[in-house]
Amino acid sequence: MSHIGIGHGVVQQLSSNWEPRMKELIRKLDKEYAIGLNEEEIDLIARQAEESARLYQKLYEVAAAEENSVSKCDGGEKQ
Amino acid sequence: MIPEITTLTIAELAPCIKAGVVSPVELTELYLQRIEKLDPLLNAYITVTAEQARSQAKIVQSEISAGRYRGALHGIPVAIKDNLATKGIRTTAGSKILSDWVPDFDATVVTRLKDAGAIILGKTNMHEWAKASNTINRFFGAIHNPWELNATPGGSSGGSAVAVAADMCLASIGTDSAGSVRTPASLCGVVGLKPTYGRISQHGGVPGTGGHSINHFGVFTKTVEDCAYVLDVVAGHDPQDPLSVDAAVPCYTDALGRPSDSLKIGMLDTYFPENMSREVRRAFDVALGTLERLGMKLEFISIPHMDLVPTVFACTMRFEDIAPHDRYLRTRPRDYSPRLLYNQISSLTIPEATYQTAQKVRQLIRREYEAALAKVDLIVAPTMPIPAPSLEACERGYAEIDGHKVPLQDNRGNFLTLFTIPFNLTGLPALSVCCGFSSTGLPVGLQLIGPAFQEGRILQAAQVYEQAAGWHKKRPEFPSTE
Repeated sequence: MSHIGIGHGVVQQLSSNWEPRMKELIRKLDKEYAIGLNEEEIDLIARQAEESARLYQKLYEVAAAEENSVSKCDGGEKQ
Repeated sequence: MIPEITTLTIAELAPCIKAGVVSPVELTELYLQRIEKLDPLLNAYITVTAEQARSQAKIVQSEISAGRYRGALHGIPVAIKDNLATKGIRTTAGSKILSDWVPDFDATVVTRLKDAGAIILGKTNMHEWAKASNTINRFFGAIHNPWELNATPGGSSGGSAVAVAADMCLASIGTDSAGSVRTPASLCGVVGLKPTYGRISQHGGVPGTGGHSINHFGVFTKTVEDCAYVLDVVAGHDPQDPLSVDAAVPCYTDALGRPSDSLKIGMLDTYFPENMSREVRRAFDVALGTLERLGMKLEFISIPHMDLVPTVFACTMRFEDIAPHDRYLRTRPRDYSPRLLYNQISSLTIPEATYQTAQKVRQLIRREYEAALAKVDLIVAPTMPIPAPSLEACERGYAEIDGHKVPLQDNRGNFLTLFTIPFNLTGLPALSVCCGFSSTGLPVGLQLIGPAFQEGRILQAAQVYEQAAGWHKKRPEFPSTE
């Protein structure tokens, strides 16, 4: 059985290089919502959110490519 | 041999009830006895409304005796997922947070079922806030699959599927924002229909149990014909749900029995073939052979952006469904199970721009499906990539499939709902019908998908298939509970 990416390698690939910015964002949310997350939980959620954010980047690429192809069809692209 | 009355279908029982041969009071009592006997094993119900059901049955009985028969659901015992509001009956959404909530109104589908004379047996167990598909509920206990008690029944409407599969009701209502009707229908071997977005009113659904643009109410029954009977009652516009579609509703039972031999059936050339297990492939291939023998013509179709479905779906679901939880996250965060709490906080980090971008890609996928469905009448696919994993596999987060360790959940989403989410994103109607059993005796589901508002066409083809294949006649067996 082959897979289109669910699980396989995704976690390992991203976890070595995730952004500390997300951890800060989780801390802010924790404070705002008064949840009382511990460090381990903040770490886990930040990792999860960062991995999702990276996956969502692909959507920007596809949406941009689609918009470009539409503007070409409309003659809207500068020659 | 005379079959046990609780194994009969709505189509078989309705004429008997109408003729006075079967009494709704006795029928209700038989189902309550069945629940009492089997639910300790299966945990399909959160709340059994025995006294209300008995009272309702007496009223129904007197109406029928007086010649005021209302139709096929009059006197039929049904169950409701616990994220649909029921007047005077607690509605928990499988959560600790709402564990004491007793609504003062009925969801529109509940009103319509009551108006049709159906008898509500109780509220079915589900995954916490309908937020996953293994129905291991931390607060109300895990639900067990009637075909193998150590396996998940799927979810999030697991209790609704189990109640039908184990003859603990004749039909049930669930909700489906990622496959929560079709997934448990497949794993429990019953019929599960998620109609077109807007076909069934969602008024009375608990907010926060499904993103507004991807959630649907759906129906579980033992057979396709029964599904048509229930859909006839619950479908249609509702002024209380602005997202329900104000369009004529055909009589779905009329669609049954029409010739299906000229139907063109599409199969996707990617995504599904790459992700189905050997057991599912075997059952699916046999099902395709049956469709061909019935005269349907099979052809491959392409959806170019199919690989983006899980990402678009995950972004949409997480972004849309977080707002109703805002107040609970601020006031009772630790009343979520830990994993769900972490997912909720993670959802708060998704920017609006990302959501809007996901919707652009979603439109692209939707147009690709529209183009595909202009070439074929229906699409078929397996409902699930694998048969039911064990509850233990769900707890540890991965299953052993064809010699591989497959994670059941990651950031792109849920492996178990991989085959159902495309039709939550597109809003297209989709039905799961049993298409065989694995080598260990677990059901496998076939999914039939049609153009928007063509539920009749799906029911027509599904019934022809069901009758030819005959899997609906197989029943789960239970250890003696005496």
